[in-house]
Amino acid sequence: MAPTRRSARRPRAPRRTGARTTLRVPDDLAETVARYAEQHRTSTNDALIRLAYDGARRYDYRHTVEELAAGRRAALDRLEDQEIPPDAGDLTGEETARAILGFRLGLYDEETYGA
Amino acid sequence: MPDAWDTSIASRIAADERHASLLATHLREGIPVALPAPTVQEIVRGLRAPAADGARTRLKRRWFAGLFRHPLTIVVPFDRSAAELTGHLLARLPHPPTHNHRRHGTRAQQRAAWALDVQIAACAFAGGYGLLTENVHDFAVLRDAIAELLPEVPPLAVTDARA
Repeated sequence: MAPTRRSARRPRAPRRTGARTTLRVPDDLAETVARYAEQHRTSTNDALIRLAYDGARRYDYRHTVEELAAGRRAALDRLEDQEIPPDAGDLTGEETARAILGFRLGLYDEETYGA
Repeated sequence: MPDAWDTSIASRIAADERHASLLATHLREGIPVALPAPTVQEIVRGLRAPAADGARTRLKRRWFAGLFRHPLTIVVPFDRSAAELTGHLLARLPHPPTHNHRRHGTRAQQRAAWALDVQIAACAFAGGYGLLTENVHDFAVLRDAIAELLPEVPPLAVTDARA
């Protein structure tokens, strides 16, 4: 039996709910959309939506991570903003170096200082 | 919150390993694979170690090198914020928590591993990630220490990969 006309067509794109819109698709993007539609045997409208979902998922991921990172980094930066008493003395250069290099130089008790 | 994978996860994502399906899901669905920089360091170091078996190790190194360069892979940097946080944490917690269980390796190795875990937690936190791990007890200690240090921001979410 010869294939029906319907079976030769691309599968129908899934019906979606949401506001209808009209938009101008740039030529270079339209080429990509058409290639995607061909490869996935779907309509260009559906291809456009799938690619938009893909981009939206990437955007959401990046946005979530960046927003959280920004808040946490700002909190870290504020750690050193705490008030210092006006009469607090500063470490000498030698004391500073010994504090920082203490572990490498074996100046501290390993059990107390750790790694 | 997206999760970064610590070394207990990232070391077991190659084919037939117990977290291979996790990597497969990420690649199939286009979800980024976030690896803290110290985890990348541990993987390469482990596969370059003199004790490792030559040619077979090179193949696995190449596989991981491909993963590190994959467009979906994000190496979460050990940057200024992560470095500062690591300093704060190591000053508070110089030793790995005991949890009343025996740890592998010499005391020096345990401390080096702990320093790496602290760096991994700091990378994930400063990078805006949670952490997926099998080593949930140690990272829960770090999560709590970070929450104590920085109570005003969302804490490091630590997810048990074995659950």
